[in-house]
Amino acid sequence: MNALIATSVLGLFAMISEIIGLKKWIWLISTIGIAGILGLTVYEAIAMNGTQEVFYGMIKQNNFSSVFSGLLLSITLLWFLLAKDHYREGNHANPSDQSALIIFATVGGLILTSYTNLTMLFLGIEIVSIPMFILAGSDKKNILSNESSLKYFIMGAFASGIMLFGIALLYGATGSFDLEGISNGLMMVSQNPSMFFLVLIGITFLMMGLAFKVSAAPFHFWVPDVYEGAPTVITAFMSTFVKTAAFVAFFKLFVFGFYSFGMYWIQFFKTEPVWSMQLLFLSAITILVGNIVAVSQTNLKRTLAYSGIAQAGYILLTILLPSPETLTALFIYTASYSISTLVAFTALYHVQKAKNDYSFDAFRGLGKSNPGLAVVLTLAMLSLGGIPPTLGFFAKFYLFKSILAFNGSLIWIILLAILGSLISLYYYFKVIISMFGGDETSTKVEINLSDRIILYAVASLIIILGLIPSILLELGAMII
Amino acid sequence: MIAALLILFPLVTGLICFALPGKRASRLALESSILTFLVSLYAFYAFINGQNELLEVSYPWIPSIGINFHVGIDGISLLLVFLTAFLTPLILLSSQSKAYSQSSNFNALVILMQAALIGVFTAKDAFVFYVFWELALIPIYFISLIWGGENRKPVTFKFFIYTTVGSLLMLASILILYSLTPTGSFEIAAFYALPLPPIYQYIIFTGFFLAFAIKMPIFPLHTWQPDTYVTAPTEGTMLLSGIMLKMGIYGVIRWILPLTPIPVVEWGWIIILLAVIGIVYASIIALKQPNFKRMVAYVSIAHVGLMAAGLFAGNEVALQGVVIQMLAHGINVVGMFYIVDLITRRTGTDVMDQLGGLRNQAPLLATFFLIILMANIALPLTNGFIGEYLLIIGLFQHDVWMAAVAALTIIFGAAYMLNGYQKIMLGAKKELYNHVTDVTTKELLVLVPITIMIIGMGVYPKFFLDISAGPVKEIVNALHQGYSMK
Repeated sequence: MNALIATSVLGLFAMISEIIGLKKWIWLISTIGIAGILGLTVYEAIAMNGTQEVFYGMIKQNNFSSVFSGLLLSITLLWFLLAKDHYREGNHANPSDQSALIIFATVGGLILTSYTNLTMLFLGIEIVSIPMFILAGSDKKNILSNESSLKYFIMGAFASGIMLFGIALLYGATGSFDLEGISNGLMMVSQNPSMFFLVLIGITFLMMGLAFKVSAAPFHFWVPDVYEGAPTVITAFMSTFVKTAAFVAFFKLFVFGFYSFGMYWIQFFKTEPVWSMQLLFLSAITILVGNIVAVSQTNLKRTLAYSGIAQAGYILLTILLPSPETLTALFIYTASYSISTLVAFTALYHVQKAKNDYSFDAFRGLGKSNPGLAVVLTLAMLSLGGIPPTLGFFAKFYLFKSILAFNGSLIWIILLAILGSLISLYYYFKVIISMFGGDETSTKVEINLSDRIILYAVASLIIILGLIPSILLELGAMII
Repeated sequence: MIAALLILFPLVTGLICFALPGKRASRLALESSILTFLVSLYAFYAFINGQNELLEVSYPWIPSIGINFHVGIDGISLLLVFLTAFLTPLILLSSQSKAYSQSSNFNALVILMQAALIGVFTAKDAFVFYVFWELALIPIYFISLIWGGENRKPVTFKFFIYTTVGSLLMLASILILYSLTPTGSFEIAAFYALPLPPIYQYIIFTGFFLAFAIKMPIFPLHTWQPDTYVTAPTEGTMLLSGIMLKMGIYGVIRWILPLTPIPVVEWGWIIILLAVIGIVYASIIALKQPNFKRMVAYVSIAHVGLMAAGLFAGNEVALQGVVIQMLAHGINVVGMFYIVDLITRRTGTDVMDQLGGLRNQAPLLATFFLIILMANIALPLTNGFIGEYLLIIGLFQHDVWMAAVAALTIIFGAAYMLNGYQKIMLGAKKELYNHVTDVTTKELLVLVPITIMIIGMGVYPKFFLDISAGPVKEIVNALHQGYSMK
């Protein structure tokens, strides 16, 4: 709770800091602030016993929210660290606005980890999204950035509307906004068939809205254009923080809201509930579409956008099959995906800045001119592709393992996911081949020493956590 | 303890090599590989004296899901670890006479590859096995990609995709096995203890077999191999053909035979048939190759075909033949590729028709070539003979006709090998190659150990056969017991 307030205050402070003449220090203030709030969250999590309710029980703090808040704050922190160059003089006109918006989005993410009420869910989603609409267009003179912002806003508003409609229908059927109330209300509904359609449409609409936010197919059409048009640092934030936050909210809603109704459904109708089928379909189609379309991309930024879609397909499986193990898998997978993607986007940012080009050709000969940067990007790609000994491998391994442990008959979706990751190697390796395969040399990409050290340190996390995944496993086991 | 040392020591020195300047990196790499070789000799000593506690270690790695860093050396592992440790210094020595760009990275990758290979051969935990299996792929991929020849991008990528398809299917099999263990363990011993229903055996067999068959490779999954062998730098080809393909054969011995006896017995004939087709097919193509290096690549498919057939013959003799042939083939094929490299470096070509009469300029080279060639043809008193002889006897006990066709490999071998020798070494002296020098002292350092092993193993194979006899017997017994329980 305190973290939520502290983050909001930090956001407000960042907003006015330009007026009081702290423009130069804004990066440092934000980074230290977020690091402090992360420390506060950890401290609170250790000191806290049981759960704590605030806002009349609309927000509940427990282990679930603490661990995922920690994850989201860590992503923001890593983002600030890696985006240091973006905040240097002359690289960006409005650093304090950017910081404030990123921090406000973090507030939204924190709400999404701890909500127990659909009002708060909606509020959280909006607080995350609105800064993103603005930030996507923050490269004001670039037409692509403008397009990105507008597209994101229109589609996002539409998705929010559908989600709100879903919330209203559910309220109509169960008479409650509260997750627990909905869970109980749904049991009543099963005695009243006339409400049944209301519930099913409500759940479907909520799923559509959230699927849009996590960029699952077939609600993914905005992703490539928005990701490509937005400034690269912002894309990095969008594809890691926003996606993780949306997934946490998604998981929470379906597990704490609808799980017991689903169990009842299975007993009563002897079939899987409708939304399970829908989720399975979403996941399968997302894996296929994301991976297959990514193959034909010619630049790294769009490839990473489609890679993000494909990865969302794997993560969706955890929502389909909720168990303590898959919850841990969700935590590890989002952490792994976020770290690898942040590193990849940062490498892309530096190359793009030096060469004003982010197609695969821009990476030619990078293995010779910038071996360090090339190795870092290779690590990120190997991790996204799930090759040992990187963290991405363990995340994928653990995800598949937890799904198989849950339900052995779902081996076909595992095989589909494996097929997907196989296809993904093709496009992840495109950039590796570009960097190391050619005889040509490229002009050296100049990176500031401190930026380089930060980038190497974050990239080394991919290997360290890959070799000692027990750290993440212990944290993940604490969630429930 | 020794097993962990054999993995971790090269792993650490490999990483250090990245940071050192070229000259010092290659010295460190060489020293490290020689030290590893000495440790592997000590492993022999410990094995013969029955100090098993020295050979096996298990540390908890990811305890919450039952993963231990469990490595150990038994008879079969020992021979393969020895092969890896014996060949790595030779491969490094062979690279040192060439001027590779970024040579510290090259040396580092070779040493890392060694660590991963020893890891594969000693792993007693499925997760550890899988990690090392994939880890072995990364260095060799980059070695081929960065220092390879013409057209390397598509060729190495094809290789990578092929092997990864196999790996991922293997991962699926491992996960199924894991989900069947009562306490959730990745220990290979726990997998052995499982009563696997036949349907699971078929699924698991398919996953594992495809992974191993691609690595070996067995016809018709071999299409990545000739191109990759030709494109990779010679040292990469040595690693691939000398050691890496043994990963596939070792995998069959360690995983498929004891775990899934029913499909092994029921489907074994299909695989033997494919392997025999591979032998004949590759031999015929080898006969027609104008390039010597490409020819050796196809010869390798033929030899591996014989080993693959022996794997599924299901008797002790054939399996002993496989194990001893793995060792022999590794040494011989590395010798062969080294000779190819020496000739290519001296004359600038490996097209056999353009060469000729080199014996006049380089008599010593011709002698070594002949010895290594004889080992490849499986002449008695060379190491190649022991393995092929046992393999064909074992196959004969299993199926007379298949053995008869497979034995063609010896005749074919003589045909293409001697043909190659004749074209390159014999014939009239060519003035064009007058500048060709004979073998230098540094090159002798590679050729002499190989020759010693060829003749030593050929004359006294009992030493190596005794080492693998115990575990081979166990595996064959497990296979028959498993099948009879059906």
